[in-house]
Amino acid sequence: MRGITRDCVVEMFDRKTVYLFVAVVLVSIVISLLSPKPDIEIQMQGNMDMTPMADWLRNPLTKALSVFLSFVLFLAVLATAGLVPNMLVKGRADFFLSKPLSRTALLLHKMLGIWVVYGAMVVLCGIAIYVTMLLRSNFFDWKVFYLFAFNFVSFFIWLSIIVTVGIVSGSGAISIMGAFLAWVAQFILSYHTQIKSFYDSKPVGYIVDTLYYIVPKTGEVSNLANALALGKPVESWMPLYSSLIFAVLFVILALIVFKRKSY
Amino acid sequence: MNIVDVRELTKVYKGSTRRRSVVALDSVTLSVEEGEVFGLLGPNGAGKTTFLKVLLGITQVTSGSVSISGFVPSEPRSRQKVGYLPENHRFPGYLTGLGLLEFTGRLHGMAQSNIDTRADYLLELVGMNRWANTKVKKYSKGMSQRIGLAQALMCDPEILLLDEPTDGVDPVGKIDIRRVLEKARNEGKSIVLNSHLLSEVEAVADRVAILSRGKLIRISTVDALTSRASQFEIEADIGSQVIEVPSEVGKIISISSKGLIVELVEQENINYIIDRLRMKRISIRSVKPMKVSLEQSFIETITASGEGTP
Repeated sequence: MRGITRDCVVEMFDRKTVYLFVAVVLVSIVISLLSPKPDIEIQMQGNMDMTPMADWLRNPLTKALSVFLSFVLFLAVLATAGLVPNMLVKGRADFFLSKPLSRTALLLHKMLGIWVVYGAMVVLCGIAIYVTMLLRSNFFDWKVFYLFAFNFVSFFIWLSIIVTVGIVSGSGAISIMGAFLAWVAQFILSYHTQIKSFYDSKPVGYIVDTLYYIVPKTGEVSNLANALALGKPVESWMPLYSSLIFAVLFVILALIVFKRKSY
Repeated sequence: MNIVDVRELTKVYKGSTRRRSVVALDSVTLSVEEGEVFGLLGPNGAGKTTFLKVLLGITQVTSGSVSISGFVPSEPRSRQKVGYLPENHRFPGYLTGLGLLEFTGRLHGMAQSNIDTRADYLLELVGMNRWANTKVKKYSKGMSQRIGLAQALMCDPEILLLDEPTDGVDPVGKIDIRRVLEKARNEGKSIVLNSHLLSEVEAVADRVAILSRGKLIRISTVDALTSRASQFEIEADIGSQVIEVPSEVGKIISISSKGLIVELVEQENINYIIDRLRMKRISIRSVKPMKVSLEQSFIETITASGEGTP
């Protein structure tokens, strides 16, 4: 594990993706610094009940951070889509597969390495932006860490898709396309109640509902994280559970295919 | 004891609607003994690389049994003491030469202190210490082969599987690689060498197997493969004397004042030839069985098998 995680870090620096994350963070920090300073309003009314103002402030800050994290997560998905297919190209697969590791261990370690390294990168980028926001607003709320935790989990869900598609197809480009298709599917299926009422057909309703529960719902997971960060009640944990079940099943599928493949 | 044991091994790459199935290995049975240098010969597409990949579990077996270091290839333990240099390898280009060796050591579960010592030793051995901190992607083909050989030796293997180790290497590099192989042999390591350079195999191998279109068509010691059991070269002061050999004994292939080459119906007939020469009071300096190069023997074997090149 130690070797493969370190390898993921070295590979990340060599592929220069780390610089892309740094560039995005720097641009975001500049934008953040150039935006109006919201805490001035609060200080002017310091002797009043601060709760409505805090809520007013918490909302845009949390939303901005959530959007930023989603964007960085999207970058992480793009940056990692080719990593597993790249490990298994002709000539390189021989190197990895000739080592005394089971294929299950090799793939799980590689996935875990990518998840930890790039997931940590997503979280670090978020923290950098949040610290900048803190400096501007003097407003700290620990609940914002829900956003980091849930984005870290969302990255695992996306990773399960790109790794599985990458193992089956052997192509980083097709992995990205697979992830994009999943994203489109979850976007469309988020309107499943409207689709059902539009068609007004039982079979269509069953199909749409089934697809809705199967397809990962990272958009809804993000909404869930936003609700927690804003201190609102969570209506349902289903999007998180079903997405995680989907991810685990996809990882199992990737392992089965990987174990049977000849290179 | 056999370090590699293969029985009735068959590997078929399944086809699709547009591509027919390919039998890469067809009921191959062979074994490699501990400490032996074993050469795998064959034209392109003979199944040599597939054979090595099957031993390592990189390619799945269709039927038959395979064991390496006493384990089946699907068990990771089977690769604990195996070093492999793949053909047309693409080591992770983001690693330096030293980084590649360290990474290999970690994948083999070696302790860090052991990794450091072994990496230093191997970089020196393959003449790559000057380039240890250069990224692998910047290496020339010859340098890649050298570092590839070092990574194969990293785990101090009991068996080395080398697929075209001198491919793209200059003559000096080839000598260096041969030196490393001889050293490995002297240390008691088994080596399976897959190479197109038959002179190289001839120089280091104890036994060779010839594969053609997935079939094992001959397995033999290098000596047996290169010697012409029925032909003898006799160095003798024949001068202008006339030598006759009855057809039931054999025939003279060439003759000069300093000797002759005979092809005999049976090996024992050499005694008859020697007796005839001695009767004529011809002084005999040496009698040697004729040898051919491994290359010539290989071509003859392939041609005789009717398999030819694909």
